[in-house]
Amino acid sequence: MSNLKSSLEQLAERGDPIGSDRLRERVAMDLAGRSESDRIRSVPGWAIAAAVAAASIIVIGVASLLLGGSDGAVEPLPPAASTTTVGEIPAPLPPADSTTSTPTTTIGTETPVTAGAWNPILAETSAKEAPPAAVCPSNANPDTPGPMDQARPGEGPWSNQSAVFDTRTGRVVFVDNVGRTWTFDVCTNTWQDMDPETPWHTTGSRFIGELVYDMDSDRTIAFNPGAVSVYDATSNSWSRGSGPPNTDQSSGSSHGLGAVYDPISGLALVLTNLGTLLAYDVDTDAWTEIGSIMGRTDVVNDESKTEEWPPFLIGYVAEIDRLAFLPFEGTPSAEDPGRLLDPRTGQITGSFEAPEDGVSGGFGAFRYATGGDTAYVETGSSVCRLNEESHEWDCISSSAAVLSSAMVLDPINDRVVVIKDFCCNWPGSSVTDPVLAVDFATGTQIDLLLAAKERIAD
Amino acid sequence: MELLSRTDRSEWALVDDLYPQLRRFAAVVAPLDLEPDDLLQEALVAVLRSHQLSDLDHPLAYLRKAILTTAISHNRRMGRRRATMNRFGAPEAVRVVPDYPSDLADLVVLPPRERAALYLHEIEGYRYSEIGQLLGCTEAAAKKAGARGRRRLEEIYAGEVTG
Repeated sequence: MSNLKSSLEQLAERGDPIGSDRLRERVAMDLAGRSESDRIRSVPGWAIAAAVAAASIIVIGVASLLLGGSDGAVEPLPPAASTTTVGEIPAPLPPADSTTSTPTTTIGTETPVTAGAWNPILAETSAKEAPPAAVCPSNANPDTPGPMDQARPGEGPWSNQSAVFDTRTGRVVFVDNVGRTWTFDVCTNTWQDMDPETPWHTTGSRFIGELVYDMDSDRTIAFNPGAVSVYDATSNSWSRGSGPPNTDQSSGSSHGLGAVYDPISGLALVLTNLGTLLAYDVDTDAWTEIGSIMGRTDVVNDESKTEEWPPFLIGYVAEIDRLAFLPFEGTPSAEDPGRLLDPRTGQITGSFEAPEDGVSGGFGAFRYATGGDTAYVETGSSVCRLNEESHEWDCISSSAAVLSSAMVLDPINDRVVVIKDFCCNWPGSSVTDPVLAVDFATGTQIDLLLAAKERIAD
Repeated sequence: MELLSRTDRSEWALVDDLYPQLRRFAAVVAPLDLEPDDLLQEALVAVLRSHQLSDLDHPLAYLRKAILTTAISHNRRMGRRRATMNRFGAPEAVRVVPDYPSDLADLVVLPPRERAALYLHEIEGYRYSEIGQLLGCTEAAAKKAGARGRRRLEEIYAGEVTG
């Protein structure tokens, strides 16, 4: 370096400052969405011994269209009228002692440590009855690609976990890079620019959040660093929720290592950068700390990494009621496998290795299917689902598996919808924008929407 | 503007006063894929969630630390994406912002903490004992970060000259 000071000066002056006025506006908008009750909730006492039951999806006939679909478009039903209140939120459990089955692990100096406190809220809270799920009308042909000339989301880069499946409306909800809200009708294979009444506000200049469809509350939650927004498809509007609690401000506690919907408790689960699992109740706009997976050698094998490298939460495996985690390095191995964690107790109950071709990662979630029945990943040459019984991966070779933007399970047609484009495409690479589906029942790939154009990334 | 009401005027005045210094610091430590103002915004929101700036003894120092931790956190999040790019053969060179002069490109490959230590020492003239306090580490760690950054730059520069 010929002149360090000069280079540092140049670095300090890089870019085009927006100015303090604009910064204040942006910060104020972020803060405006947060309620004053933005604290980890801790309600003493636990009165309700709620039975744990999986949320049911009732697929019944269709009465009316809410989103203006027709001619084979998906036919959603209105929300169910009856609800069951989510149980009270209990205080965190005290640290486990020897009489419990909480795992005891050894770190570094061979000092036995417990896995720490694990809030039982996920075991003691029941989801409400989910609204009826939409179905395709009898005249729909979901295997026929949608019209080529339709409007589509803007060119990437798109975020990874930027799509979810709204079971009530029967549409994929997708937020593009600039925060615009789209839906994709899986019965007609058409995009619709929802242009919601209250537009999504991005943190900074782009959307880098993670979406979760909260089935029993029938809303889509966007977890953006430091902020939460909630999309109501019925009113086609976004509202602001409270951001995550500041469990450790100095270390930065924004979420970002994965988010899933828990159909048992009806809560959205979010893993923070600090390895803390949080639950978010969209109905009450309240956060609850469930427990930490940092420092646990039953989660991360490499002791040197237990404190700094939390794994990634990549899915909820419904059949066995487990959360699936990948190690920070991405591709699990025999030495550092993926883990299955019981969300009710915090115990690790199983592990899994990587698909044969490894896992192609990408933060913000890998390209894993959200809202699915298990964890899905792509390997670069195939799309894989975690087999809930064997804990191995069932893989379908697919061109959709290369640098996709988002994957989401379509429960209506029982296949994985892959929205192409890629978040971090490098200059000179070609990028296209088709939508494909991978059908695990038949082992085939289906074009839902052919690419309109191919562009070369800048 | 109603949205501004959550934070009172004196808080915003403080933001106005500190903006030039914070923006420069954010530009120094921000990852390449993050605009300095985006980083500053994220850090500011995080701090304002739980603190009044006017209650802090040293708001500039506190905010700088928040900016640095946010930058490090962002780097970690993006680590997996970079791994993917490696996997698919994206050449290293294209991931360095191409518009930068070579000296600057060399500098931005350093980790945020090393950049911060060098900037605070070389440009703002802080002693390493003070830098340690500013960055939330010991004097020795701050000194080490500065020395390591300088050594890496020398190695890069030597490579460029001989290569």
